Amino acid sequence: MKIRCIANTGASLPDDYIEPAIGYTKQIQFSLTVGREYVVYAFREWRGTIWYYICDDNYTYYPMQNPAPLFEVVDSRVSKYWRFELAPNGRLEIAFEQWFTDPYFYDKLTDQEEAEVEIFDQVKELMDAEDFDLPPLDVAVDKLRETVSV
Amino acid sequence: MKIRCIANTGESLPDEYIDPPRGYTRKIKLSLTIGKEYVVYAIREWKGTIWYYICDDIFSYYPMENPAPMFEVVDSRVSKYWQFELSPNGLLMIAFEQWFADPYFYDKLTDQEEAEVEIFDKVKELMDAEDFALPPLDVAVEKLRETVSV
Repeated sequence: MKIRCIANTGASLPDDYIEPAIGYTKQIQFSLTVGREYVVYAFREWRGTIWYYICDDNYTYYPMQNPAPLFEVVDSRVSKYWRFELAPNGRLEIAFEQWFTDPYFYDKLTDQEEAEVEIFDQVKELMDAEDFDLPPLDVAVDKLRETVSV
Repeated sequence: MKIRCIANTGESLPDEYIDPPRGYTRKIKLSLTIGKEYVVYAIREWKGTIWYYICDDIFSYYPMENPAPMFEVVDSRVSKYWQFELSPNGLLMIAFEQWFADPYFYDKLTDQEEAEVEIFDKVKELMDAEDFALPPLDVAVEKLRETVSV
């Protein structure tokens, strides 16, 4: 999945994304370039707000969450590496397998722990290279039926 | 992606899912069997509530939305047929390509229009048969690098 930045300041954020306590004010300037495309490595939804984890313009070794209203989707196909997790508190996360295997994966990654940094490096390489075209529906179904009948 | 039913009455619904004008009351009985697994064909998120489109126990020709708290996830892998769409009003839909190609796809499907029923039949056949194991991260990266260097 790929997104394109359409805005990079808090002035473009809807009210439900404004949260001064964690720095999301109308004045915030994001490390994003308007017009630039970014690969989405994970995303989360919380109380109706959507956040994309991307390697922004300050990227060093971990993806940062950025509010969805700053982007338009340019490639809506989901990654084959993604998994779905809905926490009991209602928080939805879609991310690669390793993100969920260890509940502290992201914390360890941001702490620059070697194993987690290596995992994200590899996942990033795979997701950056992901590009696939699905066959038309009829062709896919025919192929499936052939496989099943063999 | 597959889910297993863990509850089938409105009594198990969190408050934010209760919406009497749409029939979601504490007394609602959903057409679901506790313990039964269902394939998820699409997902909708709206103001923090998550809804799975599945073929429930009274399935005829279209998938029905059911509230996420009625289920646990038993296979979190996302479908390769899924795409992501975030509407300007904040509605998040994850569904197959054809769902988005026509903004009235789901309406036409529920109206039993022939073309849409046929599309969903095929998508259902493909998603029901989906089963894949991804190689370990190291193997996948090596394979990718071989492909790129050829």
